[in-house]
Order: sequence, then structure tokens, then C-alpha cells
Amino acid sequence: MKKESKTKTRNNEYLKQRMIMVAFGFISISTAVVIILTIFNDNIVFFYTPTDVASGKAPRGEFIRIGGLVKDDLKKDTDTNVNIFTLTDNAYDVIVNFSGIMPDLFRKGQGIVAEGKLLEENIFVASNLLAKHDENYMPPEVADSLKKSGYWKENRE
Amino acid sequence: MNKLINFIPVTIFTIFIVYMAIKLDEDKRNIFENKNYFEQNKLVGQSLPKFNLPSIHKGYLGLNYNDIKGRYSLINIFASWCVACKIEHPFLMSLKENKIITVYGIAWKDKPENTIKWLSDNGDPYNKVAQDYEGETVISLGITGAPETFLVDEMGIIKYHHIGPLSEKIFNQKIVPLIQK
Amino acid sequence: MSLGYIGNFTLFIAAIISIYGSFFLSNKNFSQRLNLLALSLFISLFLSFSTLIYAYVVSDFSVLNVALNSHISKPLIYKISGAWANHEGSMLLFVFLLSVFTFLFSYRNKNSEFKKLIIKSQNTIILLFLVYILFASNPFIVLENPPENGQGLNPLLQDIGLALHPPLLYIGYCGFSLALSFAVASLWQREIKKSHAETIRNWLLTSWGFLTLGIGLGSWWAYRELGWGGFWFWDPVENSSLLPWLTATALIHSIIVTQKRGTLKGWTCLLSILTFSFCIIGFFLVRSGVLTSVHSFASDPGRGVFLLLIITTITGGSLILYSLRSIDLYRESEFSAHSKEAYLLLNNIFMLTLCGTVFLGTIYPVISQIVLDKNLSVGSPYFNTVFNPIAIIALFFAAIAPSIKWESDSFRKSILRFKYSAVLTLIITAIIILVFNSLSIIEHSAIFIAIWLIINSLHSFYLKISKIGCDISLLSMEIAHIGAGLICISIAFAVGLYEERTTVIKKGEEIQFTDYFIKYNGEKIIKSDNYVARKAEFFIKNSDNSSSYRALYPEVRYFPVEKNRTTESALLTNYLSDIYIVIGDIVDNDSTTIRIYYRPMINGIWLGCILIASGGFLFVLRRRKV
Repeated sequence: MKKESKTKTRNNEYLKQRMIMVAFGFISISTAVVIILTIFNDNIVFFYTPTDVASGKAPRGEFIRIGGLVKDDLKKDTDTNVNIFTLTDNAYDVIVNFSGIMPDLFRKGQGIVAEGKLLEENIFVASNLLAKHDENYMPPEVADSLKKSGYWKENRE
Repeated sequence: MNKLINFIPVTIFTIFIVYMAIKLDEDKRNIFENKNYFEQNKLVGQSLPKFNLPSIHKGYLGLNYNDIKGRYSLINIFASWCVACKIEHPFLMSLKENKIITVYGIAWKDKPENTIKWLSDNGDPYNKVAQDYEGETVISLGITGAPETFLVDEMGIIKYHHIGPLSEKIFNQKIVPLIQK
Repeated sequence: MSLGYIGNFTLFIAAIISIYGSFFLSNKNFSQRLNLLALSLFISLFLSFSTLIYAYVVSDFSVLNVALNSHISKPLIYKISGAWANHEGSMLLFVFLLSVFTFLFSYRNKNSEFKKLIIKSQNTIILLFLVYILFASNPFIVLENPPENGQGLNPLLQDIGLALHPPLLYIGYCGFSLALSFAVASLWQREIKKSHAETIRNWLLTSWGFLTLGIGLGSWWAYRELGWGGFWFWDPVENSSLLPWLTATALIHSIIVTQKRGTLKGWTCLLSILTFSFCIIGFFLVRSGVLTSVHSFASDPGRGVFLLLIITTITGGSLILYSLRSIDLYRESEFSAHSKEAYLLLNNIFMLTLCGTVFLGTIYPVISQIVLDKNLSVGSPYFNTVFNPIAIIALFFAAIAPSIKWESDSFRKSILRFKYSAVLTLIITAIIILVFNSLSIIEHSAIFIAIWLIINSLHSFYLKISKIGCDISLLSMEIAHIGAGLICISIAFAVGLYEERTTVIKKGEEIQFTDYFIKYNGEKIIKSDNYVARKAEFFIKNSDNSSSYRALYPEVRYFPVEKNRTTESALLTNYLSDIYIVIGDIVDNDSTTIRIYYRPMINGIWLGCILIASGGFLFVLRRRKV
């Protein structure tokens, strides 16, 4: 008899503690979620096309991404060692400056996503270049020979 | 209370599935209408860009953008190394045999001798075949791989761009209606 | 006669068997039927997979899959690995491995209602994927007019790390199918027996070990091959293998509580379902093109739809069962707020939180595309800022939990257990902080926690060993925790003390970089089978003049046929740290751009992964009490 009521009280105690745990957990998780979402919001990077840049949709001074095809051969500013190239979406062009080492797959016609900031003179200063891993092109209807579809090689300055 | 909490995972999962399904549907429509987000092909409705490519046969006349005028025709990008091109090949041959439409071929990133051998082994469905060994047409025509096919009208305007192997179904559904207009 | 026909036939047979296994295992059919079923399914899929491999080995280009992904002049080893390096082949490998685990589980367990339910569940999963393979992802499509050669000769894909990566991951993923089946079977029976939990635990740890190795290998490969010293990029492909790893880590701890104390049953079930679900959701995310549609033109929504249907069936079905029946799982004991159970429950919450944040960051681009019609990506600072602190806090508790008693432990008494380790940790950390004062607060915290974890694990090590007759296989937890601590401290140093420099260097010039002198001796052109390369020579030596020069040869390779270029970095490993040289563009006749990286302690990460996996495997291999 005594043992039974002992177990009962102990379990009641545990139950109380469980309630406290749940309440505490709920509060801390809610706080964590709020913090996480704030950090999340600060790190969203929007993507724009050259057409968006031309039409003024792309904001200046913010960290954004611009994607397009490389229009012509790479030029290099000999004084500053900055690489200069043009990205196009076959409608409009964007001039990109990048002072790092060019990605391996960089060449005319390659799809490139540049990360960085758009300056006033419509020149994009990239801190990061992403080039799509080149494959012998697989039409979607047939098969996908990419080991990881959309696998990106990243280059930083 | 406990019972309700247990339904949270399945609810979150359902929302996830719904979002993914919507996205897939969107993607499917984009591909069907050839509206690829990244390389929106602005060429449809524009004139064929100026190009001049040599023939795969030495000493023969190549393919100039001016040649592709006067009637509706197809430009087909292909290569001997391209397996999917083999899949569309019988259909291209039937276009030639039944005299349905003129097809010009551009051998893309392919050595001329390989192209010539491939055509002699499999049959040549083209009126003229040019070589683009370096892949220059990448920019001017927005080519990203092989096979790809363009429909060009009598004035040299690009009316349609198809990515992937051309089939009778696609030809009938998408190309023929444009010609008949 | 194309090998494709044989392959299709074996797939068809497998489908028939799995239909029987899913729907027609009646109550009376016990005895030999279960094992025979599992065996026949395994054999047919083994034949299927071998046929594909064989088709690659003999270069049978009548099989479309071989024509697209292989080439006569590919080295044999890459012909074979090419079989699973493409979508269809990898799905076949996946289904084959599912049948392997089903077969092994069947033979290692006596017949019972529980086992029957698991086999049924496995068969259903296999059947769903087989239908997908047969109708939407068939590797055995036959070409009537086979080409003379294949078109799969991309040298970038011919790499041993890339070859091993999928099999390791898939062994992990497929093992977790047993966990999901376990959850479904338990929910169906409305109970989790402790013996069942114990059985599944071995399968869980094996799979988890392989998954850890697979992720580690992927990261190591990326570090060596991508040419700029990074090892984790928070890209969707990496994240999709991390998500199941996080839930699996929670699961292997939660199941201990279920097995020993009969509680946290709901958690264990849910985590089991989530782990395998994340595995297959990962497939979907990476292959359907939803996530990469900004970046790639090879997305295939048709394939995605089918996968989504499979996921809905497997995960949706399991979660519905969970919603309805988890409440029936009887809680066999209670525990207080300060007990080992409480700490392990806390771990569950930490892991799920980490999982949720990574998932949100990975999925959000898709959602924003639909809801906001805006194209965006989530920057990696988000992941690092959110993930790292939570992970570090979780590791803090990992050091404490093992010495806390079950059911209820006195807070005061338990604190006293840590008096020695706390002092030792503080001393060592203080020394390190004083020496490496350039590190940030989070890096210092990471170092502190890592040392705290390692010292407490060693303490536990010592306590166990001093008991008579303890062998290493009983120390699996300590080994795994030490591995985790090692990863933590290695990342702290590798990131905190990371240095890089980009500069133009002239032939004959010597520069100083951290503790090293690096001399550039020029470059020459070399020719190989399928590439031409610029090969540069660097002599590098430590500035303390103790060692002599070592030579490093970074290259830039040009592949004329594929019109590709790759950068081969040169690595110098000094204990656990790396110096990394990459050559860039030529500047003029005798100068070139180079980039040098210093990655201290980076090899501790890979070593830590191996330790973690070893811990898992050791537990499974432990000598059981007779």
C-alpha cells in the first residue's frame, strides 16, 4: 500500500516536472524560431536576369545574384588584374567585374551566376562566380547523366 | 491535446507536398512552352542571327544565314557523339523521304570526319550540312546542347525552338500549326 | 539479343515478387515463406543490377543507359561506377540495396508477426520504387539501332571519390528503410517491445555509420577537387544527405531510451519515419529539378511527379498511421526533469531543430518561387549562423548525458561528477584561447565545447576500462563522441585560422605564407592521353628551417575533346593541416597568378567522421554477453 502511494506521488512529481519541461521547451523553441527567422530574412539573396537589370528591377548596392550566358571572350584590366566579361540573356547585357581566379568552366556561352553588388554605372562587381558543371547535354526527355543535377562549382575571389 | 500534437508532422508534410506539386506543375508547363527560366529564348520572333559556317565536306559551300530563306525550313543541331540525335534521326529521314520540309543540319562540336561517317552510316536527312566545330553558334542561336531544332520561316524569322529529340508528335502539334498559319 | 531485355525481365520478376510480398502474405503463411520471399527478391534484383553492370563492362550500347553514360575508352573501373553515376542506374542500385537489407533482416530474425509486418512494409516500399523504375526511370531501355560508341566520357566524372560516394550514402539510406518499417510495424501492432527496439538498433547504427562515411567522403572530395579549399557549401545536394543524418542521430539516441526504459516511443517512431522520409525526399529534391530550376536546364518534372507520389504514399501513409496510433504506444516508465531520458529527449529536440533550419533554408527558394514569384537563394551565412551555435550547445550536453542516471538524478550530485573534467577543460581552453587570440567568440566556444566533450568521453573511457574485462567494442559511444568533438575543434581551427592569398608570382620568386616559404620554379606543358596540362613546380619548406624543400605540382588541365578545363590543386599535408596551392591565369611569360590556402586541422574533420562511423560499427560488432 505504502509502496503504491509512493510510486503515485513520484509519478505525480514527474508529471509536474514534465509540464514545466514542456512549458520551458515551448518558450525556448518559440524564441529560437523568432531568432532563426530573423537571421533567415537577412540572408536571402535575390536573383535577377540582365533584362531585370536593364529595366531597373534589380536594386543597386544590395548583395544579389545575376545569371546569364557569357557573351564574349574574357578581358582583363592589366593594372588592377580585374577580369571583365559580359553576361547576356540574349536580350540585354550586364558587364561583370571579378577579381578572383576565373572558374574552370568559364567560356563563351557558359551559364554563369554571379554574386555581388550592382553599381551605379550598371556594372556588376562579383565576389563569387558559380558555373554550371558542363556535361554533354542531356535533353530532359531522354535521360539525366549528371551525377548530381545542378551541381555547382563555386569560385570566390 | 497529445492527440492533436501528433497530427502536426502529417500536416507539415501535406503542406510540403502541395508546394512541391505546384512547383512541378509550373516547371512542367514552362518546359512544354519552352520557357526555360534561365535561358529564355528571346530568339523566337527574331531574325535568324548572322552566321556563316563551313560545310563538313572540304571545298563545298557552307551554310550562310541568308541561304535559309524563301520557304519554311528546319535547322537541326546534331552530332555524331549525340545519342539522342540517333533517336530523332529516323523521323528526320522520314521528313526528307516524304519531302515534307527542308532540313539544314549543323554538326555541333563534332569533327567533320566523324560527322561524315555518321551520316554515311545512318543516312543523311539534310539538304546541307555545316560544321560548327568550336560551338560558335552557342551564343548566336542560344544552343545549349544537341539535339535542338529551329523552325525558320520564308523571311528568315525564327518561329519555334525545340530542345531535345524531335518527334512526329511534337512536329505535328507544335510545328505544323505554325506553318499553316 | 540486348542485355536490356534480360534486365527488364529481372525487374519484372522482382515486381511480381514484391506484389506478392506486399499484399498476399496471409496470416497462415509463416515458416519458410518469409525468408524465401526475401531471398527471391534479393536474387532477382541482384541479377538485375549485375546485368546493368555487365552491360557497362562489355559496353553494350544497345542499352540506352550505357550509350548515354559510358564510352569504349573509359577505364574499366569508371565504366562500372558509371552504372550508378546516372539517375536510372542509381535508382536500381537503391532498390537493390533495399532488397539486400530486407534479405539480411529476414535471415537474422526468427519468424514472428512483427517480422512479417516488416517484410510486408519493405516489399511495399520496393514495389513502389520498382513501378517507378519500370515505367518512368528504366535503365534497360533498348535502342533498336545502337550507336557505335557512347557519349559518356566526361573526365570530370571519372573520380574515385565520386564513384564511392553514392553506394556509401545509399547503404545508409536503404538501411533506414528498416527503421521506417519498424515504426510502421510497431504502430500497427500498437506496441514497441523492448526486444524489437534492440533488434532495430543494430541496423540503425550500421546505416548511420555508412551515412556518416558517405557524407564525410562527399565533403572530402569537394574539398580536394573543387579547388578553393571549402569543404561544405550548404547546397541542396549536401543538405539533402545531412537532413536524414540529423534525424538518424536523434534516432539512435532515442531508441536507447525506448529499449532500456520503454519511453520516448512516440519520438522513436516519428524519428524512424522522418529519417527514411528525408532520404527519399532528398532524392526528389535533387533529381526532380524543383530546387535547381534556377541553375539547370535539365530538370525533369515528369520524374519528379512520380517520386512525389511515392513519397506521399510512403511518408504520408506512415505519418497518418503515426497520428492515429502513436497515442496507443504505452509509456512504460516515467522520468524526472533531470534524468538521462530528459537529456536524450533534449537531444531529440536539438537535432530536429537543426533539421528544421536546414530544411527551411533548402526548401525556401521553391516556396518563394511559388508564393512570391521571386527567384532567390538562401545565403550560406544563414546556415552557419543558425546551425553552428545549436550544434555546439547540443555537443555540450552530449558530454554530460552519459553520466546522468536513468529516471532521476540529483542535480547537485551530478554537477560534482564533472569537477575534474571542468577544471581540466577550462585550463586547456584558456591556454588555447591565449595562444590563438585571433579567433572569434563562436570559435572559442566551439573549442571549449569540443575539449569538454573529448575530456569527458576520455574520462568515461577510463572509468569503463578500469572495470575488469572491458573491451573496445563497449566504448563505441566514447569513440563516436570523441569523433564529434574532433570534428568540432577541427572546424573551429580550419575556419578560424584559415588564411588565403591570391598573388602574381614570378619564376624564381619566393614568398612567405604563414609559416612557409614557397618558391615558384616555373611551369611546363605536359601531355597525357586525353589532356594537355600546364604543370607548375613549387618548392615549399617550413620557415623554421627544420625540414627541406618539398615539391608541389598544381596543374591546369585542358581536355580538347570535351572542351573542358580542370584545375588540379596541390596539397601539402602537415599532420592535420593542409597547404593548398592552385594556379590561375598566366600573367606574362614567366609569371602566373596563384592562390594559396592554409587550412589548419582540416584533416581532423575526416578523421572525426571515421571515428564517428567506427563508433557506430563497433557497437554492432560488440561481443555480446553469453
